[in-house]
Amino acid sequence: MRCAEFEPWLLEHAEGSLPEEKRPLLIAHLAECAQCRQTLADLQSLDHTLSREIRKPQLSADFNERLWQRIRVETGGAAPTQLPLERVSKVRAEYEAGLRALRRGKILAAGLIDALGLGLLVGGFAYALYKHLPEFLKYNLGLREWGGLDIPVLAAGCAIAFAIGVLIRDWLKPAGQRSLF
Amino acid sequence: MDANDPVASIPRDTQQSAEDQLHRHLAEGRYREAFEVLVAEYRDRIFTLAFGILRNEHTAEDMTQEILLRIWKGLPGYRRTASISTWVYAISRNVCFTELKRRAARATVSMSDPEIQDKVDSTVSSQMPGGELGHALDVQALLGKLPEHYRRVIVLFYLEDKSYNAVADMLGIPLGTVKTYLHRAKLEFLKLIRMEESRVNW
Repeated sequence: MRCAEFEPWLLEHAEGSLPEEKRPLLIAHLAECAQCRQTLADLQSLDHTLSREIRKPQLSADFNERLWQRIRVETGGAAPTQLPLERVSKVRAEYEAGLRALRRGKILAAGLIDALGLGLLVGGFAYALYKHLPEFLKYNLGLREWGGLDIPVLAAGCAIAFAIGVLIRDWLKPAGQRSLF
Repeated sequence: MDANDPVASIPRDTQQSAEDQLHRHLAEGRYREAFEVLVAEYRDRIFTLAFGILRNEHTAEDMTQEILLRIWKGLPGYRRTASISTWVYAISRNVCFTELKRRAARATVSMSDPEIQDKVDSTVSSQMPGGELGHALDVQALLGKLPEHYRRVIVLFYLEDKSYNAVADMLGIPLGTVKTYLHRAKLEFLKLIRMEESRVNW
Protein backbone atom coordinates (compact mmCIF):
# COMPACT_ATOMS: atom_id res chain seq x y z
CA MET A 1 0.00 0.00 0.00
CA ARG A 2 1.16 3.47 -0.80
CA CYS A 3 1.04 6.52 1.47
CA ALA A 4 -2.00 7.99 -0.26
CA GLU A 5 -3.96 4.84 0.59
CA PHE A 6 -3.05 5.21 4.25
CA GLU A 7 -4.34 8.77 4.38
CA PRO A 8 -7.94 7.89 5.37
CA TRP A 9 -6.56 5.49 7.98
CA LEU A 10 -4.41 8.24 9.42
CA LEU A 11 -7.49 10.45 9.67
CA GLU A 12 -9.49 7.73 11.39
CA HIS A 13 -6.61 6.92 13.70
CA ALA A 14 -6.27 10.56 14.71
CA GLU A 15 -9.99 10.54 15.54
CA GLY A 16 -9.65 7.25 17.41
CA SER A 17 -12.07 5.50 15.06
CA LEU A 18 -9.68 3.23 13.14
CA PRO A 19 -10.95 -0.38 13.24
CA GLU A 20 -8.79 -2.66 15.35
CA GLU A 21 -7.87 -5.00 12.46
CA LYS A 22 -6.32 -2.20 10.42
CA ARG A 23 -4.13 -0.99 13.23
CA PRO A 24 -1.12 -3.37 12.87
CA LEU A 25 -0.79 -2.60 9.16
CA LEU A 26 -0.82 1.13 9.85
CA ILE A 27 1.68 0.84 12.67
CA ALA A 28 4.00 -1.17 10.42
CA HIS A 29 3.75 1.49 7.75
CA LEU A 30 4.33 4.32 10.22
CA ALA A 31 7.49 2.61 11.45
CA GLU A 32 9.08 2.97 8.05
CA CYS A 33 7.48 6.16 6.68
CA ALA A 34 8.55 9.48 8.16
CA GLN A 35 6.16 11.46 6.00
CA CYS A 36 3.09 9.61 7.27
CA ARG A 37 4.38 9.94 10.85
CA GLN A 38 4.55 13.68 10.28
CA THR A 39 1.04 13.79 8.78
CA LEU A 40 -0.33 11.84 11.73
CA ALA A 41 1.39 14.17 14.21
CA ASP A 42 -0.02 17.15 12.30
CA LEU A 43 -3.51 15.66 12.29
CA GLN A 44 -3.38 14.96 16.01
CA SER A 45 -2.18 18.46 16.74
CA LEU A 46 -4.88 19.80 14.42
CA ASP A 47 -7.46 17.83 16.40
CA HIS A 48 -6.26 19.44 19.63
CA THR A 49 -6.21 22.89 18.09
CA LEU A 50 -9.71 22.56 16.69
CA SER A 51 -11.09 21.08 19.93
CA ARG A 52 -9.63 24.07 21.74
CA GLU A 53 -10.52 26.80 19.25
CA ILE A 54 -14.01 25.77 18.19
CA ARG A 55 -15.95 26.62 21.31
CA LYS A 56 -19.62 26.34 22.01
CA PRO A 57 -21.29 29.73 21.86
CA GLN A 58 -23.59 30.62 24.75
CA LEU A 59 -27.21 31.67 24.55
CA SER A 60 -28.22 34.71 26.56
CA ALA A 61 -29.48 33.94 30.04
CA ASP A 62 -32.91 35.41 29.28
CA PHE A 63 -33.36 33.43 26.07
CA ASN A 64 -36.41 31.41 27.19
CA GLU A 65 -38.03 34.44 28.73
CA ARG A 66 -37.71 36.38 25.49
CA LEU A 67 -38.94 33.39 23.52
CA TRP A 68 -42.17 33.11 25.53
CA GLN A 69 -42.62 36.84 25.33
CA ARG A 70 -42.33 36.71 21.57
CA ILE A 71 -44.79 33.83 21.43
CA ARG A 72 -47.24 35.85 23.52
CA VAL A 73 -46.84 38.88 21.25
CA GLU A 74 -47.11 37.00 17.96
CA THR A 75 -49.78 34.48 18.81
CA GLY A 76 -51.64 36.26 21.57
CA GLY A 77 -50.41 33.58 23.95
CA ALA A 78 -52.91 31.09 22.58
CA ALA A 79 -51.77 27.51 22.28
CA PRO A 80 -51.38 26.48 18.65
CA THR A 81 -54.64 25.00 17.39
CA GLN A 82 -55.78 22.95 14.47
CA LEU A 83 -54.83 25.78 12.14
CA PRO A 84 -52.30 23.57 10.34
CA LEU A 85 -55.15 21.33 9.18
CA GLU A 86 -56.70 24.30 7.40
CA ARG A 87 -53.28 25.03 6.02
CA VAL A 88 -52.98 21.46 4.75
CA SER A 89 -56.28 21.69 2.86
CA LYS A 90 -55.29 25.10 1.51
CA VAL A 91 -51.98 23.78 0.25
CA ARG A 92 -53.74 20.77 -1.28
CA ALA A 93 -56.25 23.05 -3.04
CA GLU A 94 -53.39 25.18 -4.38
CA TYR A 95 -51.59 22.06 -5.57
CA GLU A 96 -54.63 20.78 -7.43
CA ALA A 97 -55.32 24.19 -8.97
CA GLY A 98 -51.71 24.20 -10.13
CA LEU A 99 -52.13 20.76 -11.69
CA ARG A 100 -55.24 21.92 -13.54
CA ALA A 101 -53.45 25.01 -14.78
CA LEU A 102 -50.57 22.85 -15.94
CA ARG A 103 -52.93 20.55 -17.83
CA ARG A 104 -54.65 23.55 -19.41
CA GLY A 105 -51.21 24.82 -20.37
CA LYS A 106 -50.37 21.52 -22.03
CA ILE A 107 -53.64 21.49 -23.96
CA LEU A 108 -53.01 25.06 -25.01
CA ALA A 109 -49.51 24.14 -26.15
CA ALA A 110 -50.83 21.18 -28.14
CA GLY A 111 -53.43 23.46 -29.72
CA LEU A 112 -50.74 25.96 -30.67
CA ILE A 113 -48.63 23.24 -32.29
CA ASP A 114 -51.69 22.05 -34.20
CA ALA A 115 -52.51 25.57 -35.31
CA LEU A 116 -48.94 26.18 -36.38
CA GLY A 117 -48.84 22.98 -38.45
CA LEU A 118 -52.19 23.67 -39.96
CA GLY A 119 -51.22 27.27 -40.69
CA LEU A 120 -48.03 26.18 -42.44
CA LEU A 121 -49.93 23.70 -44.56
CA VAL A 122 -52.69 26.12 -45.49
CA GLY A 123 -50.14 28.89 -46.08
CA GLY A 124 -48.00 26.64 -48.24
CA PHE A 125 -51.04 25.61 -50.17
CA ALA A 126 -52.14 29.22 -50.66
CA TYR A 127 -48.64 30.25 -51.69
CA ALA A 128 -48.40 27.46 -54.21
CA LEU A 129 -51.80 28.32 -55.51
CA TYR A 130 -50.88 32.00 -55.82
CA LYS A 131 -47.55 31.32 -57.48
CA HIS A 132 -48.80 28.77 -59.92
CA LEU A 133 -52.23 30.22 -60.54
CA PRO A 134 -51.40 31.18 -64.14
CA GLU A 135 -50.19 27.67 -64.90
CA PHE A 136 -53.15 26.33 -63.00
CA LEU A 137 -55.47 28.33 -65.15
CA LYS A 138 -53.46 27.53 -68.25
CA TYR A 139 -53.48 23.83 -67.82
CA ASN A 140 -56.90 24.01 -66.21
CA LEU A 141 -57.67 20.95 -64.22
CA GLY A 142 -54.96 18.62 -65.48
CA LEU A 143 -53.85 18.81 -61.85
CA ARG A 144 -51.44 15.93 -61.42
CA GLU A 145 -48.04 17.79 -61.34
CA TRP A 146 -48.13 21.14 -59.61
CA GLY A 147 -45.02 23.19 -58.87
CA GLY A 148 -43.12 20.09 -57.84
CA LEU A 149 -45.71 19.25 -55.18
CA ASP A 150 -47.76 16.19 -55.56
CA ILE A 151 -51.30 16.89 -54.48
CA PRO A 152 -52.03 13.46 -53.02
CA VAL A 153 -48.80 13.73 -50.96
CA LEU A 154 -49.90 17.12 -49.71
CA ALA A 155 -53.30 15.74 -48.78
CA ALA A 156 -51.70 12.81 -46.96
CA GLY A 157 -49.49 15.27 -45.00
CA CYS A 158 -52.59 17.19 -43.91
CA ALA A 159 -54.29 14.00 -42.79
CA ILE A 160 -51.25 12.85 -40.77
CA ALA A 161 -50.88 16.25 -39.04
CA PHE A 162 -54.55 16.20 -38.15
CA ALA A 163 -54.32 12.65 -36.81
CA ILE A 164 -51.31 13.57 -34.64
CA GLY A 165 -53.26 16.52 -33.27
CA VAL A 166 -56.18 14.25 -32.38
CA LEU A 167 -53.85 11.76 -30.68
CA ILE A 168 -52.10 14.47 -28.61
CA ARG A 169 -55.38 15.93 -27.47
CA ASP A 170 -56.68 12.54 -26.52
CA TRP A 171 -53.47 11.72 -24.61
CA LEU A 172 -53.80 14.93 -22.59
CA LYS A 173 -57.28 14.09 -21.36
CA PRO A 174 -57.65 12.67 -17.82
CA ALA A 175 -57.17 8.91 -17.81
CA GLY A 176 -60.85 7.97 -17.63
CA GLN A 177 -61.97 10.06 -20.57
CA ARG A 178 -59.48 8.91 -23.17
CA SER A 179 -60.99 7.13 -26.13
CA LEU A 180 -57.83 5.91 -27.88
CA PHE A 181 -55.17 5.18 -25.23
CA MET B 1 -24.22 2.55 8.21
CA ASP B 2 -20.78 2.37 9.71
CA ALA B 3 -20.47 -0.49 12.15
CA ASN B 4 -16.93 0.48 13.11
CA ASP B 5 -17.83 3.99 14.10
CA PRO B 6 -17.63 4.09 17.90
CA VAL B 7 -19.91 7.10 17.95
CA ALA B 8 -22.66 5.27 16.05
CA SER B 9 -23.06 2.65 18.74
CA ILE B 10 -23.66 5.01 21.65
CA PRO B 11 -27.18 4.37 22.93
CA ARG B 12 -29.38 7.42 22.86
CA ASP B 13 -31.52 6.70 25.91
CA THR B 14 -31.96 10.26 27.07
CA GLN B 15 -33.06 11.41 23.65
CA GLN B 16 -35.43 8.46 23.33
CA SER B 17 -37.25 9.15 26.54
CA ALA B 18 -37.59 12.85 25.81
CA GLU B 19 -38.97 11.96 22.41
CA ASP B 20 -41.49 9.57 23.99
CA GLN B 21 -42.53 12.21 26.45
CA LEU B 22 -42.95 14.68 23.62
CA HIS B 23 -45.09 12.29 21.63
CA ARG B 24 -47.29 11.60 24.64
CA HIS B 25 -47.88 15.32 25.19
CA LEU B 26 -48.59 15.87 21.53
CA ALA B 27 -51.00 12.95 21.30
CA GLU B 28 -52.99 14.40 24.16
CA GLY B 29 -52.91 17.91 22.73
CA ARG B 30 -50.77 19.38 25.53
CA TYR B 31 -48.79 21.61 23.22
CA ARG B 32 -47.31 23.84 25.88
CA GLU B 33 -45.86 20.90 27.79
CA ALA B 34 -44.65 19.32 24.55
CA PHE B 35 -43.00 22.55 23.57
CA GLU B 36 -41.30 22.87 26.94
CA VAL B 37 -39.80 19.39 26.54
CA LEU B 38 -38.77 20.25 23.00
CA VAL B 39 -37.11 23.50 24.04
CA ALA B 40 -35.22 21.79 26.84
CA GLU B 41 -34.10 19.04 24.51
CA TYR B 42 -33.33 20.92 21.32
CA ARG B 43 -32.75 24.59 22.11
CA ASP B 44 -28.98 24.32 22.41
CA ARG B 45 -28.64 21.99 19.45
CA ILE B 46 -30.69 24.32 17.26
CA PHE B 47 -28.47 27.16 18.41
CA THR B 48 -25.35 25.12 17.60
CA LEU B 49 -26.66 24.29 14.14
CA ALA B 50 -27.60 27.92 13.51
CA PHE B 51 -24.16 29.02 14.67
CA GLY B 52 -22.52 26.42 12.44
CA ILE B 53 -24.39 27.70 9.42
CA LEU B 54 -24.46 31.43 10.13
CA ARG B 55 -21.03 31.85 11.79
CA ASN B 56 -22.30 34.61 14.04
CA GLU B 57 -23.46 34.21 17.63
CA HIS B 58 -25.95 37.07 17.61
CA THR B 59 -27.60 36.09 14.36
CA ALA B 60 -27.63 32.46 15.48
CA GLU B 61 -29.46 33.42 18.67
CA ASP B 62 -32.00 35.51 16.77
CA MET B 63 -32.58 32.67 14.35
CA THR B 64 -32.96 30.18 17.22
CA GLN B 65 -35.82 32.34 18.48
CA GLU B 66 -37.31 32.44 15.02
CA ILE B 67 -36.97 28.67 14.58
CA LEU B 68 -38.55 27.89 17.95
CA LEU B 69 -41.40 30.28 17.22
CA ARG B 70 -42.05 28.43 13.96
CA ILE B 71 -41.90 25.11 15.74
CA TRP B 72 -44.43 26.36 18.29
CA LYS B 73 -46.80 27.42 15.54
CA GLY B 74 -46.28 24.21 13.61
CA LEU B 75 -46.53 21.81 16.54
CA PRO B 76 -50.09 20.61 15.83
CA GLY B 77 -49.08 19.96 12.23
CA TYR B 78 -46.26 17.62 13.21
CA ARG B 79 -46.99 14.03 12.17
CA ARG B 80 -45.04 11.00 13.30
CA THR B 81 -43.89 10.30 9.76
CA ALA B 82 -40.55 11.92 10.60
CA SER B 83 -38.73 11.77 13.92
CA ILE B 84 -38.90 14.94 15.98
CA SER B 85 -35.22 15.66 15.41
CA THR B 86 -35.54 15.33 11.63
CA TRP B 87 -38.49 17.72 11.70
CA VAL B 88 -36.82 20.20 14.04
CA TYR B 89 -33.56 20.25 12.11
CA ALA B 90 -35.33 20.60 8.76
CA ILE B 91 -37.14 23.70 10.02
CA SER B 92 -33.89 25.00 11.50
CA ARG B 93 -31.91 24.58 8.29
CA ASN B 94 -34.71 26.15 6.32
CA VAL B 95 -34.74 29.28 8.47
CA CYS B 96 -30.94 29.52 8.59
CA PHE B 97 -30.36 29.08 4.88
CA THR B 98 -33.04 31.64 4.09
CA GLU B 99 -31.31 34.05 6.43
CA LEU B 100 -27.94 33.24 4.87
CA LYS B 101 -29.28 34.02 1.39
CA ARG B 102 -30.84 37.24 2.63
CA ARG B 103 -27.52 38.29 4.14
CA ALA B 104 -25.57 37.32 1.04
CA ALA B 105 -27.87 39.45 -1.08
CA ARG B 106 -27.39 42.39 1.29
CA ALA B 107 -23.61 41.88 1.47
CA THR B 108 -23.30 42.05 -2.32
CA VAL B 109 -24.95 45.44 -2.27
CA SER B 110 -22.80 46.88 0.50
CA MET B 111 -19.56 45.39 -0.87
CA SER B 112 -19.96 47.38 -4.04
CA ASP B 113 -19.58 50.55 -1.98
CA PRO B 114 -15.85 51.43 -2.22
CA GLU B 115 -15.81 53.24 1.12
CA ILE B 116 -17.20 50.20 2.93
CA GLN B 117 -14.83 47.94 1.00
CA ASP B 118 -11.86 49.97 2.33
CA LYS B 119 -13.04 49.43 5.87
CA VAL B 120 -13.56 45.72 5.29
CA ASP B 121 -10.05 45.38 3.87
CA SER B 122 -8.40 47.19 6.75
CA THR B 123 -10.32 45.11 9.31
CA VAL B 124 -9.25 41.90 7.63
CA SER B 125 -5.59 42.82 7.43
CA SER B 126 -5.45 43.97 11.04
CA GLN B 127 -6.80 40.57 12.12
CA MET B 128 -4.19 38.59 10.22
CA PRO B 129 -1.98 36.43 12.43
CA GLY B 130 1.10 38.22 13.62
CA GLY B 131 4.72 37.15 14.11
CA GLU B 132 4.20 34.15 16.37
CA LEU B 133 4.10 30.61 15.07
CA GLY B 134 1.87 27.55 15.26
CA HIS B 135 -0.82 28.06 17.84
CA ALA B 136 -0.86 31.80 17.25
CA LEU B 137 -2.49 31.21 13.86
CA ASP B 138 -5.95 32.65 13.62
CA VAL B 139 -7.92 29.40 13.41
CA GLN B 140 -11.21 31.18 12.82
CA ALA B 141 -9.78 33.10 9.88
CA LEU B 142 -8.35 29.90 8.41
CA LEU B 143 -11.66 28.11 8.89
CA GLY B 144 -13.24 30.90 6.92
CA LYS B 145 -11.00 30.03 3.99
CA LEU B 146 -12.41 26.50 3.72
CA PRO B 147 -15.24 25.81 1.31
CA GLU B 148 -18.48 26.52 3.15
CA HIS B 149 -19.77 22.92 3.29
CA TYR B 150 -16.42 21.73 4.72
CA ARG B 151 -16.27 24.53 7.27
CA ARG B 152 -19.82 23.81 8.41
CA VAL B 153 -19.12 20.10 8.95
CA ILE B 154 -15.81 20.63 10.76
CA VAL B 155 -17.28 23.27 13.09
CA LEU B 156 -20.37 21.21 13.92
CA PHE B 157 -18.25 18.09 14.44
CA TYR B 158 -16.21 19.76 17.17
CA LEU B 159 -19.20 21.56 18.67
CA GLU B 160 -21.11 18.26 18.87
CA ASP B 161 -18.36 16.39 20.73
CA LYS B 162 -17.02 14.72 17.61
CA SER B 163 -20.19 12.84 16.75
CA TYR B 164 -20.67 12.00 13.08
CA ASN B 165 -24.26 11.06 13.83
CA ALA B 166 -25.15 14.39 15.35
CA VAL B 167 -23.68 16.28 12.40
CA ALA B 168 -25.47 14.04 9.89
CA ASP B 169 -28.80 14.55 11.70
CA MET B 170 -28.35 18.28 11.94
CA LEU B 171 -27.34 18.85 8.34
CA GLY B 172 -29.65 16.19 6.95
CA ILE B 173 -26.85 14.50 4.99
CA PRO B 174 -25.67 10.87 5.07
CA LEU B 175 -23.12 9.73 7.64
CA GLY B 176 -20.65 8.78 4.92
CA THR B 177 -20.83 12.26 3.43
CA VAL B 178 -20.14 13.80 6.81
CA LYS B 179 -17.06 11.64 7.17
CA THR B 180 -15.82 12.43 3.67
CA TYR B 181 -16.36 16.17 4.12
CA LEU B 182 -14.70 16.12 7.50
CA HIS B 183 -11.63 14.30 6.26
CA ARG B 184 -11.25 16.51 3.21
CA ALA B 185 -11.78 19.55 5.41
CA LYS B 186 -9.00 18.45 7.76
CA LEU B 187 -6.53 17.78 4.98
CA GLU B 188 -7.43 21.10 3.38
CA PHE B 189 -7.01 22.80 6.73
CA LEU B 190 -3.59 21.24 7.25
CA LYS B 191 -2.55 22.62 3.87
CA LEU B 192 -3.79 26.07 4.85
CA ILE B 193 -1.88 25.95 8.13
CA ARG B 194 1.33 24.89 6.41
CA MET B 195 0.96 27.68 3.86
CA GLU B 196 0.20 30.22 6.56
CA GLU B 197 3.13 29.07 8.70
CA SER B 198 5.59 29.29 5.86
CA ARG B 199 4.20 32.72 4.99
CA VAL B 200 4.62 33.93 8.56
CA ASN B 201 8.02 32.27 8.80
CA TRP B 202 9.57 34.01 5.88
